[in-house]
Amino acid sequence: MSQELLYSATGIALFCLALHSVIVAVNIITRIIAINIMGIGIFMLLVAIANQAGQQPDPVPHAMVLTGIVVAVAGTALALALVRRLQQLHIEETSTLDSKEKLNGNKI
Amino acid sequence: MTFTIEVELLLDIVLCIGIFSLAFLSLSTSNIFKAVLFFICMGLLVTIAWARLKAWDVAIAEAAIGAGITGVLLLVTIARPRIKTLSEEASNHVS
Amino acid sequence: MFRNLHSNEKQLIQCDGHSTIRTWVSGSIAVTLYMTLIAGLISSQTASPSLKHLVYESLSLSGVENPVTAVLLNFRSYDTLLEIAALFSVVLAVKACLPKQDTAAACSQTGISTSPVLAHVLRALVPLIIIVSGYLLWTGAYNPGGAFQAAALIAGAAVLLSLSGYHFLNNNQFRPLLVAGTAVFLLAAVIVSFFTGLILQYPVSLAAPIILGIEIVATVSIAATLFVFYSQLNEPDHSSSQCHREAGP
Repeated sequence: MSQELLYSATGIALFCLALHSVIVAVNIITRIIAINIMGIGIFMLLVAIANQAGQQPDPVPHAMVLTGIVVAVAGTALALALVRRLQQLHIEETSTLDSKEKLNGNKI
Repeated sequence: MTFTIEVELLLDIVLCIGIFSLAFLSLSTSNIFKAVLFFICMGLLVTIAWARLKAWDVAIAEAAIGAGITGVLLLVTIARPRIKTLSEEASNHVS
Repeated sequence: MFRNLHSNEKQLIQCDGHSTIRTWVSGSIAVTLYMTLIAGLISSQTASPSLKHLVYESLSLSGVENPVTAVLLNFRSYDTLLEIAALFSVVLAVKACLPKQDTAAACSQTGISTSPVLAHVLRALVPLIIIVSGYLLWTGAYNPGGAFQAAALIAGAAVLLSLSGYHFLNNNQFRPLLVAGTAVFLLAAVIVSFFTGLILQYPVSLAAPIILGIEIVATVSIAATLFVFYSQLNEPDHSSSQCHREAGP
């Protein structure tokens, strides 16, 4: 078991766990966190592959991961701005109408 | 099949178990404040993981941008005055 | 900020309700994907050919000594230019998505902690942060560091200042700072093409000053972008009742 294999496996596990959470999560903030964790998993896979034993690390995946971190924070900021806009418009629930209370009271 | 595990790999194994369990906890708890805090802690452990993989620039950037700025943005979004649900507004109008 | 945090509540914006079938299908897809990718990872243990040798051979021609900075700002500077342009477009989208309030400046901050501890600590901390971020920017050419890390530090200092109630720039005065990074990078890309014939092809003798100049402007611009993300998200809601509530001591 080498270091590269361990970190690659962890990166892939993070990606798959977060992918499941994006599909399943009820909370919108949890989905945004899950997308971030997917990104972190892929970055871990990239950097683990770049790290060959004993020699100097490969700088090209490091540059790609740096670019990826900055673009991920930009995407998260845009998603959170949309969530803030939803909060400002007092949109409370976007779930399917399956209860009488929501049918009667669903006025914005 | 036998594994030979070096001593340095123990630190990596503990780090990876920590990262994965923090991610799992962050995505499975229903209290979003806890979820954001677990995400920030995971960001710090991921910084140590980058340092173990000899990616020093990525470690500094992840500590500052990934855990820092993303954590602040998430906290600002969830720290809002409570929006009243429809049933509470109805009861307030009644009373 | 933490005064308004209700930690025992779920977020009131919910997506579709719980569905057991969807959970099981998605879980099985995730596990299958994991097994497939791990099998692919284990079976392809040969070292893939990388561009590492090309980078280390041409490092002396790039003007910097840190290979990651050389790749980011010289060899793959087109990617960095597009990344800064992507940041710029996202900040435009965020500013368009959250309209500014017309309320007075007293209502423009919610949840400011007016504790004197933060103000006194920041008096010592913010100059230190500026010095450290300047060091990170300068040493990006020789050691691990660079423009993005320095920009994130300055953005963190700006967020701390904003939390302690100190407004230092108007919303309108931010605009040249936001544009400067993309504009200067584009200008540098086009101007060097008059000397060497290709866009973004720096002349070898001038590579180090060009990279440093682009990094300085990009640092300021990225720090302003990250701070504008924070301050746009911190705008209060439209309701005036909240504004009166928060205008207390």
